[in-house]
Amino acid sequence: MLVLRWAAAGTLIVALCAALWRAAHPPRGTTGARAALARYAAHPSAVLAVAALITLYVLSALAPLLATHDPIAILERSMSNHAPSRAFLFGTDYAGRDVFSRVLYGARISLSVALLATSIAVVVGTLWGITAGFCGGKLDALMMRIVDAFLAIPRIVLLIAVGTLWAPLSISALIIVLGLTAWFETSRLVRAEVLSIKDREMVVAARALGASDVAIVKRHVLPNVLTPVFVAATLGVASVIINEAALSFLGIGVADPTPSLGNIIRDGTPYLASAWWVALFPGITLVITALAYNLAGDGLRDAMDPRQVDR
Amino acid sequence: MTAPLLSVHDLRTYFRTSAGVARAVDGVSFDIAPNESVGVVGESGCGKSVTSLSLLRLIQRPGSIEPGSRIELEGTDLLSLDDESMRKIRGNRIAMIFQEPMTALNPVFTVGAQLAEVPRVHSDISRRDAWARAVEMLAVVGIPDPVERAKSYPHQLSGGMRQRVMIGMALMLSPALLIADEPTTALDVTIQAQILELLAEMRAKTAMSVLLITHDLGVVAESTSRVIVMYAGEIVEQAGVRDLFAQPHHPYTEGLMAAMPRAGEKRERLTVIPGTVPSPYDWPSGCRFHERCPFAWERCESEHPPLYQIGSGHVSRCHLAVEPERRATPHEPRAARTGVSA
Amino acid sequence: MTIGATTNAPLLSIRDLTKHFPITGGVMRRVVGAVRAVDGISFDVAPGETLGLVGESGCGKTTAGRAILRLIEPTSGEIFFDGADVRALDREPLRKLRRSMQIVFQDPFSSLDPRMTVGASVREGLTIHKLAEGRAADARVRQLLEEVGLRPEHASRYPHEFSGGQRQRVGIARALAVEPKFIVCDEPVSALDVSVQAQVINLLQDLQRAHGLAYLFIAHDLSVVEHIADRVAVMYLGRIVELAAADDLYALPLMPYTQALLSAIPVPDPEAKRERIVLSGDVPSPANPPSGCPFHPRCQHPQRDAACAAIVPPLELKEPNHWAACIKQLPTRITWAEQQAAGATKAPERIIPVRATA
Repeated sequence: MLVLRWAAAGTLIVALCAALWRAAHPPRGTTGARAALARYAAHPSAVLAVAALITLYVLSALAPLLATHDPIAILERSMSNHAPSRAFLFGTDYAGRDVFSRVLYGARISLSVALLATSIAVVVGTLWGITAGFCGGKLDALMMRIVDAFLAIPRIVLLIAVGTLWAPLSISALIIVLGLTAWFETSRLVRAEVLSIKDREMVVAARALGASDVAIVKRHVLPNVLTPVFVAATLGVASVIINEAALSFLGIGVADPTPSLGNIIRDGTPYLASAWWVALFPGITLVITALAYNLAGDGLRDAMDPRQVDR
Repeated sequence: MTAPLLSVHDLRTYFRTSAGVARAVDGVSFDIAPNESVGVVGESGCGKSVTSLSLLRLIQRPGSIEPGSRIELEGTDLLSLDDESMRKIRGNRIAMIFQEPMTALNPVFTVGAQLAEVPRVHSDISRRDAWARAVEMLAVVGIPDPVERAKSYPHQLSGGMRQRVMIGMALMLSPALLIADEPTTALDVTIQAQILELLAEMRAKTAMSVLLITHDLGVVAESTSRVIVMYAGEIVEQAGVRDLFAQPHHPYTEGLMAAMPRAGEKRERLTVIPGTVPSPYDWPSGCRFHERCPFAWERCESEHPPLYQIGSGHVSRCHLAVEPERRATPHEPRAARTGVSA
Repeated sequence: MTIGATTNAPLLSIRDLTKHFPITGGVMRRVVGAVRAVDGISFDVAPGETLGLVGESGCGKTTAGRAILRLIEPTSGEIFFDGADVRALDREPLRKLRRSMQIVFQDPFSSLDPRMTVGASVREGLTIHKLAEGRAADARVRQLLEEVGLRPEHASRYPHEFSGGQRQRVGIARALAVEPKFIVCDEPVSALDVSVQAQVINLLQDLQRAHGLAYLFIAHDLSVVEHIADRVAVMYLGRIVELAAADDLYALPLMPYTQALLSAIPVPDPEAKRERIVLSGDVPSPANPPSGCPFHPRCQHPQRDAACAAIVPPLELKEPNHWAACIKQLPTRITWAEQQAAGATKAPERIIPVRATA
């Protein structure tokens, strides 16, 4: 039964990758989104990265269907810290729980938390940056000084401070906290882009046509700002994942017994010498995810510029 | 006839990219005599700038000069030289000035320092002597207050002055050939007049040859004695300047002349060359101008015309040379019918 | 006294338009001076007429064009368009007025949004002023593209897929979409090749005839301006120094600057005799214009003297419908006594110049 479900999951992953690959090789002469996809597909590292991310997200989303055991069920004590075997693919941890299932569920939580938190960060950062950049003057100065102040505090310290103050954090609270501490660089980035776009002749042209400021922002500034924002966002997800793992590792993030990649690693750290599998597998998953996002972000940078043609 | 200063034979510069091979310069041959001023006229995409960069071997990847090309300076084949020897030629025997003096000058060094660098790169001259020569050159090119000006940075000078500095840099070592790539296009017309006059003065003083690349027929008429017209990577017409303007042969040359509005000659509508310049990845078959030509016939589409001799020193790459009666039956060029405008 | 206006009521009327850009300096960023980009210009444009505005870089012509449309806020002066006082308008009425006053830019690449299809760019005006929506808008966009010489299928392509001349056509279509009466053409052909220039100039003329448009044609290429303009104004350091019908200006340039400009144009005729007036020196900075007549340091008028450095010449009627700003060219309202008081040694005369080149 389980094997069938895994086979189904595998097929789904392959199908998604194939569909994307087909979309990325359009007939010559197309433009717009499809051409961007094509340019993206020209980077082998980016392609692999996207494939890895698809795999991770599909597998972790389907965790309830694919897990071999209940991730929080404590099996008999005698089963604790067992090496990987056929029954327990990644072994068991100190409490006798199946590490494989825990990693699957943990990835589910870590990956979705990272994605949602980054979305919050992108939205807040973009709005802040556009307002500051477009309005200029004293408002701009004030807004950016606030950003500077927050940027001066090391992020992890900030997170720990906030986390401890409001411990224990529910998942939604964790997402909000991670999101609201990650938007500062984005706002700086967006503001810089807005400043450069504001003076471009195409904005003067829009004003000459009679466009209102709101219309100009919506139609011209936003689409041109989004490219660096998306790139920064993919790279940002990687760091949010690490931060969440760090918080969970410290005990401030996702609380026991709910698994998160971070707290699984924490569980395994005291036994690093004897039961190395407990910390290793979530660690590898974390590294692969962060790496995949980084490589995907790099490829995105070149792909999203409509002017990057072989001319 | 004296030996030519520069002899270019079948120059081909191709750019190989993932989109294909762009034949930017596709078989260009010409000579430049000592103390001669030659103009190269053409529009964007004709290959004139790539030609000039090829002469100095300044072409970077993915472009390369194809084997079979020959560029000889006073008998020496430049393409066979190693990098070190070529470096000795640049700035020394052949110098080049560019269209945008702001981007060609280094913004973090004073103009005096940049001028002084030229002789120091090529010889063991002392720093003080080099500076003195720099100041001297600034005076020669007509910069007021040269002693003070030598300490200025490029951004503190106007466009015209920057171009004078560039000319000065090019002339520091008295080159035999100066390649000027659209030197006045970015300048105002009164400043352009000054620069052209300066170039003429310099030529008179040093007997230097000039290869002047431009799209402006007026500049060519004034400053050169021989004109090369380029289109689609090839030379399509070459003649002495008087002959070219009195009796242009190639329909492209005629079209260019007709398309220019002239001060003092008001016309109702400007005559237009329909269509667009073809892509170097895909030169048309036969004559590369045939789709835009009002005289083209079947031969033009299938047979690539060679350079026919029209008169003394006047060649034209057009089949009208052998079938001149076709001039009597002009028609609408194919490009005008398909309605693709530039 | 309407400067150079036709007998009908002018469509656009500019009086003493000025734009000064403040220069800040010092630690506290105080205003230490001003770049006098436009320093008091006045002219009228009649409906359906083309007024050429020529001058070299730094003369303020581009700033003037944008100030007229209030894309740059003028420092002072009056702008009357179709009877309305443009400077007094609030934001909303100004937006609505923009339908009637449009602009075509010099650089066809930077004035189009690279992320919008060409069709979307042309359509923008229709959407803003609610002139058409949905299918009707699509149809109008296609019609406009055809009118400027592009194919309707091109609407779904992006700017980088077109050549410079084609992009300029898109810009023209975009301006036409809102049915303007007046278009500021800011060096529309300077960035184009000669054969492409000819095509675009012909297009502008055709459109003018078809729609009764008035143009302010800003350029530095005098041959192009002579071809397309009915009247021409010559600018130097933010001021208009000469204004006349195109034919008159080119046949009879009264100002030494205009004469120098015209003689500097390289003539594509190797046989032509060239008596070129080559100006010495560079154009002074508009942040620090010379006193009196802005042109006097480079002027080669035979009657130039100390008074030229002291008195700012007004733009005056010298010949029928031909204005010039020179106190040494009769008739002038600066009396000889006034000039002598300022240090004059040579009396003004009525000099009719002979055209320098054949």
